[in-house]
Amino acid sequence: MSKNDVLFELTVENIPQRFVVGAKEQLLKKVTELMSKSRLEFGEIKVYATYRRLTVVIKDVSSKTEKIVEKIYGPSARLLKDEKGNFTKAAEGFARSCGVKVESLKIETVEKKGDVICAEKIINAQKAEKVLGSVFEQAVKELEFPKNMIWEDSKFVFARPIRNILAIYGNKIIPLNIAGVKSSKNTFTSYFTGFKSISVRTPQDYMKTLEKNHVIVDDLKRKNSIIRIIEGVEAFSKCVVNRDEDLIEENLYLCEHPSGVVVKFPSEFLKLPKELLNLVMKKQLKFFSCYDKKGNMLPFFLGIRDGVSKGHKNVEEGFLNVFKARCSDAIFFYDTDMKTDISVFEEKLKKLLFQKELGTMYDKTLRVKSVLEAVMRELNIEKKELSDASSFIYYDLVSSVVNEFSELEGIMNYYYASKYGVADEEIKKAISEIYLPNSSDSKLPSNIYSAVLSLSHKIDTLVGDFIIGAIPSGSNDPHGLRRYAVGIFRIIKENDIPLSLLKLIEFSYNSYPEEIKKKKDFNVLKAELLDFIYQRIESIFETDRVSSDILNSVKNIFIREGDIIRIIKRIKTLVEIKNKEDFRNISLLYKRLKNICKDFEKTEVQESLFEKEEEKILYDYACRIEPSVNKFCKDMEYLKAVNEITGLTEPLENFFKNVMVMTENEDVKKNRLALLKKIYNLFSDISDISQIVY
Amino acid sequence: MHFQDLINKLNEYWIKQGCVMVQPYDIEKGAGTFNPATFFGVLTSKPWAACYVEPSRRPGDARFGANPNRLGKYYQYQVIIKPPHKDIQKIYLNSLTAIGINLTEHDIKWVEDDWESPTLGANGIGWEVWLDGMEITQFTYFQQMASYQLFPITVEITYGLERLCMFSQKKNNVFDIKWNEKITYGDVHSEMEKQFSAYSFEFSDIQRIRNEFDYYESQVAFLIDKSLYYPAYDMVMKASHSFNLLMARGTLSVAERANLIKRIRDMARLCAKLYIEKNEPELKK
Repeated sequence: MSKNDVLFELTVENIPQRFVVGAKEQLLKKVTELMSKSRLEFGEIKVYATYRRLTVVIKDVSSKTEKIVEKIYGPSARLLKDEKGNFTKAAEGFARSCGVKVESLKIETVEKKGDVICAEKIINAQKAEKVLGSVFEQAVKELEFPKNMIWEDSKFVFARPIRNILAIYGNKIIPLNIAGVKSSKNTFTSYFTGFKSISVRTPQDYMKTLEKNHVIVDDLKRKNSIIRIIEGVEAFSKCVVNRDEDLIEENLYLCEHPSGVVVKFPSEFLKLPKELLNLVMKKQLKFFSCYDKKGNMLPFFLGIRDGVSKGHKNVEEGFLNVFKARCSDAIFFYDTDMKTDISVFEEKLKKLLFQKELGTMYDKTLRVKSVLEAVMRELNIEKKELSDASSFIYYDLVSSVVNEFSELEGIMNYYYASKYGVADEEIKKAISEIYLPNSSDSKLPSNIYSAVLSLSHKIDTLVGDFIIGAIPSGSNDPHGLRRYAVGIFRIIKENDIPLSLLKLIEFSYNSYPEEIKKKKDFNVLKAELLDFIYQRIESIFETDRVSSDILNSVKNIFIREGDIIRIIKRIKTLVEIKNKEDFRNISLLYKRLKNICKDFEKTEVQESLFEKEEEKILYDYACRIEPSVNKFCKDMEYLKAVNEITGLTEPLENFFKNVMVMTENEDVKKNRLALLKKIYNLFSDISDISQIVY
Repeated sequence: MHFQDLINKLNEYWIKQGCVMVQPYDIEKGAGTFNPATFFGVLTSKPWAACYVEPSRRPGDARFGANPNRLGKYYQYQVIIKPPHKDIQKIYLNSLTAIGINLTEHDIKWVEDDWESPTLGANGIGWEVWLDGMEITQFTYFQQMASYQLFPITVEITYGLERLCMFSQKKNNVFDIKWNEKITYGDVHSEMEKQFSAYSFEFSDIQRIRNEFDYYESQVAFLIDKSLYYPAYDMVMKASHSFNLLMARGTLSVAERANLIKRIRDMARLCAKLYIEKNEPELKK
């Protein structure tokens, strides 16, 4: 059968960059699914996108579907005709539902079902164009976007208005209609060539034809062209361009034909903090900042323009003007802040609410300081400069710069440090890093001072919100408490900080005034908060594919002890050994143990009450390993502890085989339960092993 | 191109596209969207196209004439078309050509920006149009007005006239724009900016304005009851301006602000409801 390539291009008014990647994925998936069901043969499917085109190319599609006979099996053959030889109601209904005449029904023998009624439905051959038309109509209709609109009479719902459809199979038009737009062989060039209508002869000509008209449809090719522009600037100006992936991606979907524009700006702007300048360039203008080898910002930037090099001077001038205007605002704010006396910041903090029921940001400052000092004592950190500097951590929140550029909260403290009289480089970093980590893969506080200050800041918000019951539920987490919990986990884990969360929560709880504390009992708070933090820990390990039984088995230990370092070790040990034969055996025995002695209160074992050899052997073995198990657990050598306990397998099996626990003699029975409880408890500091499932 | 010529060119262009050149509405307002030609114009199913200059007041943005980019009162050029032609983007870009901007020599970017006005209960889907990096136009397909789902859809194109003119005259300060050959924007506006800044930030009578807000609100209910949606809507605009004056003085708490916005939205909704009932009862939702 002859084959041809397929081209489908949907022209849409500028689709936002954040929609495009998802749309491409969905389009590929849907077209693949629909093509697989279409009974057309087809080769490779590729999807491309620019800010105004969604393009699908399918290789080697057969020119038509074959005529086929589809067999549909129905009810039992007995139901075809009644005693009089007339077709039954059931048979008529079945024929109707299959779209065939009742007379055409046959009987066939089907494995396991016996003789059944069979309808043979003839599906005629269809031309590829016809099939493809409905494939694309369907695929486009099913695309989902974060936000939709309507714009035309049929109220078709899409991200942005659809304005043209180019759809061809070989050199033939694929007839289709979406949102009142009919397909044709034509498409349009970009705005800078006047949205010229051009005709595309065949799918193979498409890319070339558009490229001749300065549209690079292939995302990868366009991205490479941006990278080449960056490399060119780096080579020519001996600099390092900020290759921010998000920024490249954003520019990728703001241009159909990227051209680089390097713009020099007066070096007086460099007195602004580089994070601030970079933010103005990236967020407000989509420009790339440039640096020397040492990371100092240089007085020029790279802008990407959509178009060719004509009128470059205009664009350069425009880019510079808009940069200057934005920076003038920033300079004004920064200068104002640098001139403002810090007592003004403090006054403003006293008026800035943290949360209605939890006082002002100034109150929060005092609490964080007291938590910090307690943590430092606990960890034997001596650094008076740190606790002094902690008074300033929220000052930047009332600065003009952060007011305007909220992304710079924290960061600006580094630049205001001289105002605060903070000179120590590590402390300057500490007061600027309290919000780190601010996403799941962002960097962490860079030194131990940063780390403990960030912990103190985060625990204060968590404890405060939990006291007043502002606990996240579902997608509702306005204060980002989940992020804070993850942050605490990561900071403690990565810095290996031997600080129990029980202590941290207690320090924070005690820093709140009585009238707030009385809103929630400490023990309730502690349990709720540790449970909440454990949920975050679970989801972190779940992404690492740790199974939920392991996570469940250590949950209660965590809530009792609140120790992140230990819980990580336990989880890792269990992951390592779960599928080992020895461990599997002992864990099954422990399940049995738990069932027998779960309600039994721990009592002393009395050797004098032993009646059988197996009791004695088991007891001796347990006594022998108990001290080392305890020591290994204390030293977090959980693997060694487990290995010790696995030695119990044989004596325990023998015990179960030969000793009856529930005997009539009450004293003997209790003693046996006490023995089993003792064995059971050997594991209690490692995991509730009975929860492990196989 | 002089400021006044820019306006003329845009008028000429959009009149040719079939727009009715209505005039600015004589009540203070924060944006051209508040003009009844837009507010009521978009609500019904009848085709409607209009263009006009709208003086827009933003008391809180005033800077005593000292900031080269910020004004307490400025001019928007507003175009609304219902339903929009399928080439509306191209038609808009051609309007830039009409005011002397050669598109092949500049960079145009359409940056996602979905406009909304919580006071009008309005929102739309669209973009900011950037000309060589500078935002010159807000381009929006209205989806809702006064909390009504709209159909057919209206497109709203709002040019910042000062920005556009600064661009075309290559000025870095709005007050340096040449209004005509002899007069600058500063000649016309800078004293006004100073005086209105002083009024907005220092001398406006807050208590009186609060009372007026309440009065306008009561009048809306009263006038709607009399089936007079135009006068009622005047009261909505006045209440909205009172709100802007109160905001400028920084006297509103977050909760109060949200509350006043909701009250204005409710007033606007009443006017829209009556308008639809009277003009297109079958549309009533």
